[in-house]
Amino acid sequence: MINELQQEFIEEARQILKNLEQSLLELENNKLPEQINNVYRYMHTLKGSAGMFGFANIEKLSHELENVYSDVRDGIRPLDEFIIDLTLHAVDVLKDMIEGKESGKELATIIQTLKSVTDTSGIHHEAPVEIISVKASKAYTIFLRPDREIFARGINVGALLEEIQELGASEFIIHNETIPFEKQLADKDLSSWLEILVTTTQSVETIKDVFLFMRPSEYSILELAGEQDFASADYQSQIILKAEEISNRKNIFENLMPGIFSKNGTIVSTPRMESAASLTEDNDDTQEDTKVTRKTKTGSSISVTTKKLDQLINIVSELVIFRSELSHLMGNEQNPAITEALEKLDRLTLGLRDSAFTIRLVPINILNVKLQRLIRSVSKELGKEVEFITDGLETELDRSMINALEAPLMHIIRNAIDHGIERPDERERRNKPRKGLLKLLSYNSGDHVFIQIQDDGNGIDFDRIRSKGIEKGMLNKNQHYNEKELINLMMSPGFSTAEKVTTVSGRGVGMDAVKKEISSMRGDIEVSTEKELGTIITLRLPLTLTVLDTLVVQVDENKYLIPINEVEHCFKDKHENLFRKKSRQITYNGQLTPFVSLREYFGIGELTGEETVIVINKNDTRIAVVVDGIIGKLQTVYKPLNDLLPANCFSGSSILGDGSMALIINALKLNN
Amino acid sequence: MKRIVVAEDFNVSRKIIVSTLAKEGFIVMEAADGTEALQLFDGRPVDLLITDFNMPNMDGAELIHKVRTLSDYKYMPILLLTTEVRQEKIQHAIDGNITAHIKKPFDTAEFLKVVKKALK
Repeated sequence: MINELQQEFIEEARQILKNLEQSLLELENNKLPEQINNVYRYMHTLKGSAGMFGFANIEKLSHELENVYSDVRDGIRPLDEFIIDLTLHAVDVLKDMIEGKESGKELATIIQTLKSVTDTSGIHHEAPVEIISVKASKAYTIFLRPDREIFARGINVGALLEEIQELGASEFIIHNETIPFEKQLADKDLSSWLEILVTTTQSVETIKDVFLFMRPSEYSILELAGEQDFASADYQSQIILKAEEISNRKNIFENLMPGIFSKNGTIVSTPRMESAASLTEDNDDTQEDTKVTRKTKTGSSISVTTKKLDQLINIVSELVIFRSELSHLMGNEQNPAITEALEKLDRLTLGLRDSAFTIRLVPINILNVKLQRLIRSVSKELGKEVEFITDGLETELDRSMINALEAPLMHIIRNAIDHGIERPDERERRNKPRKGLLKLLSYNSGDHVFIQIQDDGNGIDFDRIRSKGIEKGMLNKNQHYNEKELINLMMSPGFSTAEKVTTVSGRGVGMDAVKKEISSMRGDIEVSTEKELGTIITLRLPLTLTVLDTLVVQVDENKYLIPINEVEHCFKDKHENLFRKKSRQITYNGQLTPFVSLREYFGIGELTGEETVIVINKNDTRIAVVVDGIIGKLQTVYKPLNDLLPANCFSGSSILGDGSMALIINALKLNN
Repeated sequence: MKRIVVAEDFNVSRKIIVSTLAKEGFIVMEAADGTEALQLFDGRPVDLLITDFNMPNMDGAELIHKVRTLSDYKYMPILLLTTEVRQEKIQHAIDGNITAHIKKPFDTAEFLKVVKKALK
C-alpha cells in the first residue's frame, strides 16, 4: 500500500530520472562541468528524498552514484564511456525500482560495480553541503563611449548600465567627469565615457546583446586573459595606463572575484562557484548557453495528473455535444435575447474546447531521450555509427498520439539503423562519412503535423522486397511491380514476420503494425527512397484525434458521417443513371471510379429518383459513396468504436445534435 | 502596462505586429499612416513607437521628426521597420532619432526581444 507522500516521491523521482538521462546523453557529446554537477545534484536529491520516504534500496544506489560523480567532478576520475554506460544502466535499475519491479540480484551487481569504481579512485567522499552551480567565469573590460545625443535615440542609458551590472560583479570607472555623471544622466547630456571592469559567466553573445541598440563606435568588449592585457595594443587604443593604474585595476578585479589572478598574472577561468542570488537571474541565459534545447517558456507551470486532465477533457467533450443538442432544440427560437445567449454559449464552449485540447498538446521532444537511448543501444549492438539530428521537436501533438507514436517511431528508427545505414567501412568504401546520419524532423502544416525520419544509408532494397514477396507467394514472379506497390507490400501484414528476431527488432512489430497504428490515428505514411542515397519516411498526422469536421449524410432513416478532408466532390444523379450498368462505377475526372451504394451495402431497399454521390479521395485512392442526400456539416467529437464491434466500414462514432448516434464511414473499407 | 503605437500602412503586416504585441500583454494603438499615428500621441502616455518608413499622407521620417519635437516624447524609444532596400540619405537623417531598425520580414522572437529591450 503506497501512501500519498510516497506517491509524490515516486512522481518526483520519475522526473529526476528523466532529467538525469537527458544530462547523461548530453555528457556523452560534451563534457561540460555544469552537466557533471547537474548529474551529481540529481543523485544527491534522489538519495535524500529516497531516504526520507523509506526507499532504502534507492537510497543505497543513489548514494553509490553520487560518490562516483563526486569523484568525477573533483577531477579524480575521468568521465569515460564505461561510467556513462554504467550510469545509464543504473538509471534503468532505478526506474524499475521506482515502478516496484525490483531485482535483488541486479541491484547487488550494480552496487558492487559502482563501489569498485570509487574504490579504485582511492578516496571516498562525504556528500558535501549542497553546491549550487559551477560555471566558467571570465574577465572583461567594456569600453563604453555613447554619443552625446544617445538619449535622442530613445535609449535609456540608466537601464543599459543596470543591464551591465546584471552580467556579473562589476566596477565602473568614469572618465572625463568634468560634470558629475549623475547630473549628466539627469540632464540627458553625456560627456563622459566609461571603462567597465566586469567578471561574468555569461557568453559573449549575451554580453553583446546588452549593447543591441548601440552603434559599433560606441562600445568595445575586451576579454582579459591576464594582467599583461592592460597594456595590450587593444587596451592602449582605448586608454594608456600607468603602472599604478594597472595595479589599481588588478585590485579591482581581485575584489570582484577573489583568486582571479594566478601567481604569474594570468586570469584563472576555471569553474568557480556562484552565489545563489546571481544564479536565479542567470537561469534563462543558462538555458541558452547549454546545448540542451529546452525551450524556456514564459510563465510558470504546474503538473497535473493525466487522470484529472482526461476527466476535464471528457467533460468538455460532453459540453460540446450538449451545445449542439441545445442548438438543435433552440432551432426555431425567435426570442433575440435567447438567441444571443445561445451564441455566447457557443463561443464560450468552443473557446473552452480549444483551450482544453491545447492542454493535451505536448511537444514531440518528450520522446527524444527514449529515442536517443534506442539509437545508442541499437547502433552499438549492430556495429554502426550514427549521428542523430533533430529539428522542430518542439512541435506539439495530442498527448495520446505521442504515446501511440512511440512504438512506430522506434521501429522505423530501428529499421533505419539496421537496414538503412551501412557499416562504417562500407560507408567509407562508398565515399560516405563513417557516421551515418539519422534525422528526425517535425513541423506543422495546415491542420497536420509532419514527422520525418531521414537516413543517408542504403535506400530501400527493392530487389530484396521483390524476391521476398515472390518467395512468400505474395507476388507473381512474372509480373512487374513498381516502387509504390513494393512499398505497400513491405507494409502489409505477413511480410515482415519472418525477419530475424534480434534483441533489437523485438517481436511482432513490423512495418505493417506501424502502418496500422498510423492509420488508426487517421494519419498517413509516405516512403521516399533512393538507392545508396537514403530513405525518408514521412508521417502525416492530424493535430488532434478527437475533433473531426464531417459531412452528415442520410441513408434511409439513419445518418452517417464522412470526414470532410476525404471528400473531393459531390453531385446528384438519378438512380437509373447510376445503376444502369451492372458494374458499380461512375466516370469521374475522366476516370472510372468504383462506387458503393450505402443502401445496397446495408441491404436497405432501393431509392428511385435522385441520389447523391460523394467522391472520396483517401490515401490517393478514390471511391464514391452513394447516399440519399447530404444534410449538412458537423464538427464533432469523435469517439472510437469499442474493440468488440467488428471494425469493418466504420472508423468511429459520434453524437449528433439531436442526440442520435451516427457512425463515421471509413470509405476504403467499403470495397473489401 | 506599456503602451505602444504601431504605424504601418500595409494592413496585413500591421495586424500581425499588433496581435504579436497584444499577446504579450502590451496595450497597442494602431495607425495606418503618419497622420493617424500623430493623433494618437497628443499628450497621451506612450512608451514606444514602432513605425514603417513608407506610408501615405505622412511617412515614417516625418512622423518621427514631428514626434521628437514634442517634449513629452523627446526621449521615447522608437523602432523603425525597414526593408532591405534602404533609402540611404533619408534614413540617415533620422538615424540620430531612432533606437533601432527592425528588418522586415522579422522573426517574431527577435522582434519581441528588441521591443522588450527598448521598453526597459
